[in-house]
Amino acid sequence: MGIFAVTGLVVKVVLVILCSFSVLSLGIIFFKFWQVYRAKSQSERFLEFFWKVKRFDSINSQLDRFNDSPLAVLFGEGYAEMKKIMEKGVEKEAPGIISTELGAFDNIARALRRATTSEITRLERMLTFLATTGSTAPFIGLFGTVWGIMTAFKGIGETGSASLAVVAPGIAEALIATAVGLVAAIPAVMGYNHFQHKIKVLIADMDSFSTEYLNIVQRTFGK
Amino acid sequence: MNRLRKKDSGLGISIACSFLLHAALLATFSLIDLYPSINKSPEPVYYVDIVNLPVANPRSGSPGKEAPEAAAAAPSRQQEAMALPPKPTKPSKPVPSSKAPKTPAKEESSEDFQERLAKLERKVGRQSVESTMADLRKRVSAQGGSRSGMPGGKGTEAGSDYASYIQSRLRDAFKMTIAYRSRNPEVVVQVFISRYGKLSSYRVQRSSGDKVFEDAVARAIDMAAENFPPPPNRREFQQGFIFRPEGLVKK
Repeated sequence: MGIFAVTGLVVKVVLVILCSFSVLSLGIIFFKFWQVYRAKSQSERFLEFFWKVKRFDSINSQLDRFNDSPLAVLFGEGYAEMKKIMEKGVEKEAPGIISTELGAFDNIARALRRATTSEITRLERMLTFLATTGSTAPFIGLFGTVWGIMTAFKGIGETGSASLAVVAPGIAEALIATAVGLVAAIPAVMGYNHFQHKIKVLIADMDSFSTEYLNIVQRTFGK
Repeated sequence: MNRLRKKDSGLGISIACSFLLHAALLATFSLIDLYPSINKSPEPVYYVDIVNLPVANPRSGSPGKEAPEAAAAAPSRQQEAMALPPKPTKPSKPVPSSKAPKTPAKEESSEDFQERLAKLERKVGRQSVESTMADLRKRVSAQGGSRSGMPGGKGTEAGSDYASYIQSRLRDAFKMTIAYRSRNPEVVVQVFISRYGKLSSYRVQRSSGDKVFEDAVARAIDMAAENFPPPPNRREFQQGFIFRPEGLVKK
């Protein structure tokens, strides 16, 4: 705290910006940990439930139990689209049958794709802030460092002495800016890479489930 | 479609947790006082300054009536010391002998000459020691102003000048903490020491405007205060010190 008090205005502003970046990025990391963990664990539970129950209407009635699972969202969207098509089939006096002539399966596939995109967007939200923090925080810290060293040299010029007592405070405040920049950037980069990997796995799971879902619908309800 | 529009809750809580974590870390760093500990030396350093003697002038004591008398006594001694005139060394005159000296006489004169030379060397050595001592006495008496000596002392007590001792401890600590940014900063600090040798408080009487320098002074006082001995006669002690980049002096 003492070293913060003696820094110049520019370095203070840099430190405040970096601290804000650090607080926000760490908050996002905590949130993403919770979000991705919930998505993964509920998806596993949903898949288990899906293969066990096998009745779409029963699964649909229990979807609220898997609120954070992207697979449950996919199923819900696919099922809603399938219901609409089947209701049209009732109007045409062919209940429980999905006609391939009108491209009904394409409709379900499109609904699934849209749900997948929406879930990817939701999962990747705020990751850009982590990327921004990871890439810019060291530079902002470096700016503070450069400014601090400039101040230190100015101090040498003013005091007319190049002793350690004159140079050291400026160098210390310069280095504290770099240190805070790195403290903000390192967890952000690590978090970004970790969540990118986790989200990629979830996207692969969603793609597999979509394919599987379409296959089941075509097998069961196709004409 | 409702599912797709669902909101993520918990971001606010996460950011609040992050903020608290940062605050806790900052508080921890502040509490352990990380930065000054780099400069702190765990072992106290003891030194004897034979040039700037901590005993400024034990005879003079603290301001009082006896002090001028005692101080007046010192110059007479100095004058005594200074009055010793360097005796001119008379070269042994060769005895003009008309006749040619005999060989045994020659041997005797060379022995005498060696003796005289040794005497002269001793005398010169003694004179140089005396002149050095006279110089030292002069310097000591010059330092022994009205405020020197033990606080409350009459100039007759044996012991050191407490203020000079505290000054030496502060100077020692200040060497380790000194840092400044402005040109020739100067801070005047009044230090209060309790009867038990604890630093009661210190007050900046004149600020330099250089925060770095004042921070260095404050850290030096805190560091030096760890090893303050109790003041003589168990009386509370206070003294002003002027801190400058080149050192500190008593006010």
